[in-house]
Amino acid sequence: MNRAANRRVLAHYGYLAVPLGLFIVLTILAAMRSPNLFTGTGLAGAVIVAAPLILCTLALTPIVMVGRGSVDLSIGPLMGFVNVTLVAWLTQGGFTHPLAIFAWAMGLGAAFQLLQALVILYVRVAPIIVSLSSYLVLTGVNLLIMPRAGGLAPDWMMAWGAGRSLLSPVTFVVIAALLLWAVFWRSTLHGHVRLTGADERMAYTSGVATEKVRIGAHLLGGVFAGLAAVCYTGLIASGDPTQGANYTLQAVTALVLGGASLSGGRGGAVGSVLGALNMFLVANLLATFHFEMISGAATKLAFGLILVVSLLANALTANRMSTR
Amino acid sequence: MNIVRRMTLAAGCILALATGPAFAQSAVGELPPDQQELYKLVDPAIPLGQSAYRDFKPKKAPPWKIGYASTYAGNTWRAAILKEFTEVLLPKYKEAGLVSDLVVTQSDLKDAVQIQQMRQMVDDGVDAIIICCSNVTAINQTIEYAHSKGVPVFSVSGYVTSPYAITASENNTQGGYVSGKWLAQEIGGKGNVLLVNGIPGFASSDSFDVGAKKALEEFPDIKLVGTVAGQWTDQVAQVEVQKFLATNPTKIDGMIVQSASENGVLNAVLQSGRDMMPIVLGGEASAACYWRNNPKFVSKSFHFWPPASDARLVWDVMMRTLEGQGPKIQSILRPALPYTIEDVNAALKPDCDTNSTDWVEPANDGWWPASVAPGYFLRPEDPLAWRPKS
Repeated sequence: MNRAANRRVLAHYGYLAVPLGLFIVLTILAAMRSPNLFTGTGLAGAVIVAAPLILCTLALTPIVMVGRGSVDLSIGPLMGFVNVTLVAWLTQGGFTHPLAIFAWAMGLGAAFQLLQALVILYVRVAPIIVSLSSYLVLTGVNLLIMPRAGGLAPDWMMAWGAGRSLLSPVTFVVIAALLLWAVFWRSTLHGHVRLTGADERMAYTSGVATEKVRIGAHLLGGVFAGLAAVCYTGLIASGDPTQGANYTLQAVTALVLGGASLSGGRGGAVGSVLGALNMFLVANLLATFHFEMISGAATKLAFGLILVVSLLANALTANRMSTR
Repeated sequence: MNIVRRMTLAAGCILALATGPAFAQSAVGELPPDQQELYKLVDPAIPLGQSAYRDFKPKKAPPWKIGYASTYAGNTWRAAILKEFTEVLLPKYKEAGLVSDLVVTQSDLKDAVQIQQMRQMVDDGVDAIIICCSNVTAINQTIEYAHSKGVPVFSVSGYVTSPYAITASENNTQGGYVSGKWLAQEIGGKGNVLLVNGIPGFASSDSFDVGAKKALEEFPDIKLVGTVAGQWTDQVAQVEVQKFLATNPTKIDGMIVQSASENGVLNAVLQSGRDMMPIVLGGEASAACYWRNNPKFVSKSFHFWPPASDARLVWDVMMRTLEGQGPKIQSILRPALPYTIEDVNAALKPDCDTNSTDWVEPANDGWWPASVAPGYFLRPEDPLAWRPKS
């Protein structure tokens, strides 16, 4: 009986083995090559740099879990959209109270995701097309709102980017996001999201309100996107309309590195956070080598290779589990 | 109030705009009069206050370890600037016992990665950081962090707004203005113009556009018929201009191009089968080679951001600052330098390569003359000959 229970846990969380293993290896390598990372300021810097990516990846997670191949390509520009509106509209308009900033960021993120969910559900366009259109539209809109990087974050946020202490506000935002995930994880919505993602027809015939579930997943993703934007605004203490595209690519990579299935049903906060942390550690490690001109190419090559290897490893472990 | 007035400078005629208040509060007044003239047409976002490093003392004696946190490596310009650092400046200053090492990173235009790399450099004990062409505000907190650890940050080719950085860059608004004005005159003050800019949203690109558009506004018969983003990369610019020419049958009488993409633009026009029109060239040796073979192509061209010269500029400013020479002003800006077919003939052989990845650079130290540099520092000395005073 114990073995049966073990097997069930393995089947549920076995996909975490690869990201966790990679995380341990990368941490050991980083400790050897870049020991300064594990000092107070090193970790403080790591948190503020990694937080937007962690939260972007977290934002993708419920949306990809709900299936139909809905990888939200618009996540980066959406974060950028919240960032530029926070700086160009709210801060310049004098609305700088932390409550107003957080409410705006999470509300805007959720509203945009709601819109995407409604288009996917009722206009019946494939999610990838909807999010690709959003990506293009938002990239343009961001440049219209803020033609070039600039502006200032609210005063209370200005010191976030200095990253001198591990217990910075950014750390608390990330912790709050993880708590929110824990609430979601305990709720029935979580099970319904997984069921809908794994087999939408079966979920529907079992009485799951799949449309509401999809909307719920998008709303949750939108809230995380808003939090990502708050952390990003803190990191750069200003607005930037050009960085969104980068985050889409990185977050999707981190999502896959974290073991989530792009076809839905499988994924979670632990995997996504590990995926994002692994991305950070790889970049950190590569910076300790003298690649000079080719360091950009080396970084991309490394991410590509790690992605392929971890996908293969994931596929192998999944195979082993299903043949048992 | 804006005062537009004409002035003569070196080989070219430059129209300039002085913005009164910003000018008065800045440290520009401390510069030699001939250099003050160069600050009359400046992007208002560029900080011109007193430098935070006027009384700076380095955290330790030389040799110093230098970090270079670049943002991109995908074009010939970036390659040339890095080559100058690693193959010319580093060996020279190593031999003088002033620099021990150069650490290079590249962030692929990701601000967060650049922030991480710069923090890593500071934590690993570099004595100064050079950044290239960065986001104007995103890394300000990181620059402040570096400053708090005694590490000055120098921005080459593109400004940053942090008061704790020193910018050593070209004056892009002025560059855009003189090139726009030259093109307008070259095509007889009337016709359709296409603007091929860099990356919209990036400071250098936008500052240049502001200057170029300002110049074109002075010619009512000139129409700006389109803007495409060449991304300072030949291949990108070539595709973008090809697309534009294919979908816009209107006659294009001239093109203003942000350099590091002029050869791509040139090729796009050649492929389109249209008659060649005047194009603003920067310093790509490939495009200059076409000019050498077709001397009637244009009457002159400009050095906007000669890479090796820009590298020498920022290195010189950094060494002087580390040596405690006290930079006077936050932003040291260089004007676009005109050059002619004679300069091209001198720089390139008749059998030059139209696919070259080299750059035509200003002759000698024309970009940052040894006679000019001391005027920007409170306690100037020759940076290479300088030794610590015991």
